[in-house]
Amino acid sequence: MTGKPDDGRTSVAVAAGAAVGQSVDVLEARSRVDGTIDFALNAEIPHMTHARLARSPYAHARILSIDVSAAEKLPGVVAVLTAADFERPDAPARHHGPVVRDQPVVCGTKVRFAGDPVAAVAAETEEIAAAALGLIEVVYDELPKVTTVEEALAGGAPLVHDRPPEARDRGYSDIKLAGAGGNICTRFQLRRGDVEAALAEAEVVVDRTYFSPAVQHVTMEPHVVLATYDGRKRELTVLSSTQGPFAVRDALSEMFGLPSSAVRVVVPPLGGGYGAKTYAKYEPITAALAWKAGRPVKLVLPRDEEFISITKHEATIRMRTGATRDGRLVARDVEVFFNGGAYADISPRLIKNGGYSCVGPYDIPHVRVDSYAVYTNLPPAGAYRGYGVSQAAWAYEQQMDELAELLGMDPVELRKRNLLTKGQDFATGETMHEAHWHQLLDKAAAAVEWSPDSKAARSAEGRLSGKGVAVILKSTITPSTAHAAVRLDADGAMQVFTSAVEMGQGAHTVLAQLAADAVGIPVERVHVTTPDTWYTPYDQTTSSSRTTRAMGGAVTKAARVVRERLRHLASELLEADSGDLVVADGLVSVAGVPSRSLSVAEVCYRTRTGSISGDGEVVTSGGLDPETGQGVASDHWHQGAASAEVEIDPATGKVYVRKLYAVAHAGRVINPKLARLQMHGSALFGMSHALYEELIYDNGVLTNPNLSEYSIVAMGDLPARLEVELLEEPGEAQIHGLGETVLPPVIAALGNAVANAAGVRVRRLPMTPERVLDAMEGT
Amino acid sequence: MPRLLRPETLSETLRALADGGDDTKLVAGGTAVMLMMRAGLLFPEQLVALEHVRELDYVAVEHDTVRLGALTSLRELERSAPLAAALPTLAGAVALVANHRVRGRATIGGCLCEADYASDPPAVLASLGARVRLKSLRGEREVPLTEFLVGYYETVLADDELLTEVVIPRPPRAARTTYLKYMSRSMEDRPCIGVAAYVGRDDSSRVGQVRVAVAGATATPFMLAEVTSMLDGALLEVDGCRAVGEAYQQAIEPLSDVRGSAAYKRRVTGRLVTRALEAALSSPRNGAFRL
Ligand SMILES: Cc1cc2nc3c(=O)[nH]c(=O)nc-3n(C[C@H](O)[C@H](O)[C@H](O)COP(=O)(O)OP(=O)(O)OC[C@H]3O[C@@H](n4cnc5c(N)ncnc54)[C@H](O)[C@@H]3O)c2cc1C
Repeated sequence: MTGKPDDGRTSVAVAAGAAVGQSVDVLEARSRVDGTIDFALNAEIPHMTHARLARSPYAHARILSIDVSAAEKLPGVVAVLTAADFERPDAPARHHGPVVRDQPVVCGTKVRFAGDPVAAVAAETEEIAAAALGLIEVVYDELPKVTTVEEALAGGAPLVHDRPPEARDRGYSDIKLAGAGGNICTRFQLRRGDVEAALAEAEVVVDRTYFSPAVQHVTMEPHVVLATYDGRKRELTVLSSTQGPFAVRDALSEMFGLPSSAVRVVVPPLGGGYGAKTYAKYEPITAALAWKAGRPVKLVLPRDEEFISITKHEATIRMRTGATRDGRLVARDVEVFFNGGAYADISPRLIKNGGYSCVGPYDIPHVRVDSYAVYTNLPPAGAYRGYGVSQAAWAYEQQMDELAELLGMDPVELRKRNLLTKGQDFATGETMHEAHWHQLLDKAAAAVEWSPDSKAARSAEGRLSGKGVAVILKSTITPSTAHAAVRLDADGAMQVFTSAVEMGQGAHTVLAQLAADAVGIPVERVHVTTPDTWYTPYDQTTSSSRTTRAMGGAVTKAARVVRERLRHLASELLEADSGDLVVADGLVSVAGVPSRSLSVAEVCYRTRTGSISGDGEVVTSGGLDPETGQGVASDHWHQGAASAEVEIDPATGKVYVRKLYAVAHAGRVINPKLARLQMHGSALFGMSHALYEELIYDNGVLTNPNLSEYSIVAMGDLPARLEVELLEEPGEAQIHGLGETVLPPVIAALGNAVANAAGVRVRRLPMTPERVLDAMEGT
Repeated sequence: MPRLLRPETLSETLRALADGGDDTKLVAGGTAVMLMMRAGLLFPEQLVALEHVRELDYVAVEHDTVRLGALTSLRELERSAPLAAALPTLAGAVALVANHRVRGRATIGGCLCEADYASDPPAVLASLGARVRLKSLRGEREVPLTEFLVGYYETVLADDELLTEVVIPRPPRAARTTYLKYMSRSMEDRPCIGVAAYVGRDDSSRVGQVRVAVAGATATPFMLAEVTSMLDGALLEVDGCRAVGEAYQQAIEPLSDVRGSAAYKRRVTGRLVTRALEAALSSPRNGAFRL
């Protein structure tokens, strides 16, 4: 329970029922496997053209000239878009961005990362479009560049943006831009107590720096956009593989100066998102090209371009934690540098969440956090499953183990002395209405048979083995808004109108389960619509592990309205008070008298009802003071823990993961099977970040933009034991999202297990065999 | 789009190659060549797809040799019971290549002609003393694999030549073979370092010919014949294994790649060469092992 008054907009508590709590298969599972599902990739419309993008080979350069005349003459080329097109009086705006409008649709004066688009070609076939790229002549004047945070913040560093970028007119209320200057895009700060004094008095202080590299989402489905601009009606229709239909609508309506009703965004099921498809990404350039071409344009981003589309932030975190000899945390001072790449994207929010998350689920009286989004000449960084918490937890959960070692204390015990408990305040000053960390940590420790004297051991083959644990908290996007509508038809079937995006996570399945139980019809009779901003109600975003809770709450409320109306209609027919009627399995009956019942179809037929509609919403509020970081960071908190057992081959430094365990607080689990799959996914993402993934740049140019040079976890890497657990509550309980919760602690638990086994710590991700061996052999 | 030919026989294929010149590219399983085309590294005008050429798809286990048709898929090799009995280390190493989707398409001929330095089968075949048979309308030749592979992605194949067969001498019954595939990243990756060891042995405890080939570090499988030949007829013991490992570590000049720096590969090579020899001597079973 959140403990907040119910103003009709809060989330709902639900109990297990006919559908809720059941492991219903993902509704479109079969079509995802046999290939019949309609991904955006399969979309074709008459007169459609195909797009390819011309990109800068330089990380930072002035554009002296762009000559597209030869490309335009190539037979089959329909249109070539460059910055010059945006000088036409009726042209759309050339810049966009969810927070600051710093990202050019196509670059005009300069390019800011290797891969920045300078032109876009629409042609009859993709091959022709690709061939046309080779005919575009751009003359560049290379500029000095900054690719690391260190370079970007050095005195006299070249500026990625010559002028401070313009903030978007209607931004997000939780994002306060502050501290911009030089290559700093924005800064978040949190101030609580007196850190300097507390650190000066602390009996022990650990001061370390932790590094996470940029990695890519590698969704199976790339970014796909199919845009049609109707110049006569001044209407723009976009089919896109986006996680944020309304964010895309708003970005395009602002860019084209169209009312939002003149922009229609339709979203088929996605083949994975993980944050890569939040906010407008390739919709602006595809829509602008369609505007220029006067024909529909489809862009399917090639895999190598996926790698430069958007990344997880590289982060350098310097953290100092002070404690008493008996292991009470007294102060933490953190400087967080997120490498945002060339454009802000959603960095201003992510650095805030990643900033306060550095406190972890601990009670620390004195805290100072300064978190920066830094512009560099790298591909932009943005939302990534975990949203800054992975980087934060990599720092603070390793630091907890380092502190424990310094204190000669069991790291689990050290954590337990400091974990937040129910009713305590977090560093932002908000009260923790729910706190399950003790239980989560106990479970994680037990899963690897943790004991205070868990010491590294050597196996028969000479491998070193070790164990590690980690525990985290994660916020969810706050404030946030979700609306839904439900329509029960006279035949007893039901439509759920939602703009929540189905991206393989099973959102639509879970929404169908919630809707089915809230009305009392079988789940097979529920259909969940595809998001379409013309018809489906507003939803802020499918991200931040919020859909099951926020949209699930909105759908449940909408369905409850429908049930009330249904009972009302049936009460006269059944000669009973509507309050005495129950709806189950599609039948309305008098409570306790099952013989007095009518099917939904009969009720509708006899009352001449065509359909019964209802709507619902979940709207949360909060926000942090820009000076102190005090306020409400999150409507509720995701809580998770993980533990790991590893072995290290001392000859190679390679880490073998023997066991991974992850546990999340879930409140009410709607679909155990899908919930567990989300946890498995998170755990394997975590393992992949811990051990394999890293985008490697040379002079700002990505050197491994393919799945041969860039390694991700594969089936063969699954640990022998992969266990996940969900902490549920009995009866009616709140729903907690769990799409991301255990990703961050898995990375940190692996870090701690490696340190436990190796006897030395690798503070830089990924923990490649080479880094581990270098640390072990002191080279 | 390049033109596509689909010959059905060996002679049609050789004719197509002879007519095609250097703008013609063979496609066996296509797992390498299609990636190269997609990456824009290769722009052939004509593709000759070999999927219908059935006569080069076989595993023949004979008294003295094992012959593999060039178009036999890695999956077939991995599943061939006669091959597993005759050359367990080769069959095992093939099973460690990529994943079953790739192995289902990839052919042994394609694997050798691709000449990628980070490949497993070439090192194993080199340690076994394999030879390859090359055919063209001009005639036929057989060359040792170690001479067939000449550089990074480079072989002695002429434009009009087809690799038709791999010929592997059957090791004596008492010989020991092993392959260690060390992957520094995901388990479905190419090798960071692979070590194939062959220890010829008669029924005494003395060793005969020893060959050790290292994959993943140098352009072609790295072998130090002068070092391993010193072992010929010796009583191979732990110290000997270590000395060979050290000699390999001294001599090898690895390249750096995403799987490890040159310095790292050098260190690991020495240790794994030692380990492979020790395994070859002590393990009761010949085979390939994933590290
Ligand atoms: C995801 C992935 C993972 C991989 N992992 C590994 C690994 O772990 N270990 C490993 O060893 N390898 C690995 N590989 C490489 C794989 O083994 C090779 O791609 C494969 O063996 C090539 O065989 P193919 O039949 O597909 O060749 P193709 O792609 O068809 O051809 C490759 C080259 O050889 C030429 N060619 C083919 N057949 C003949 C012939 N008979 N005569 C003359 N020229 C010919 C072609 O023209 C082309 O130049 C991996 C590949 C992929 C895609």
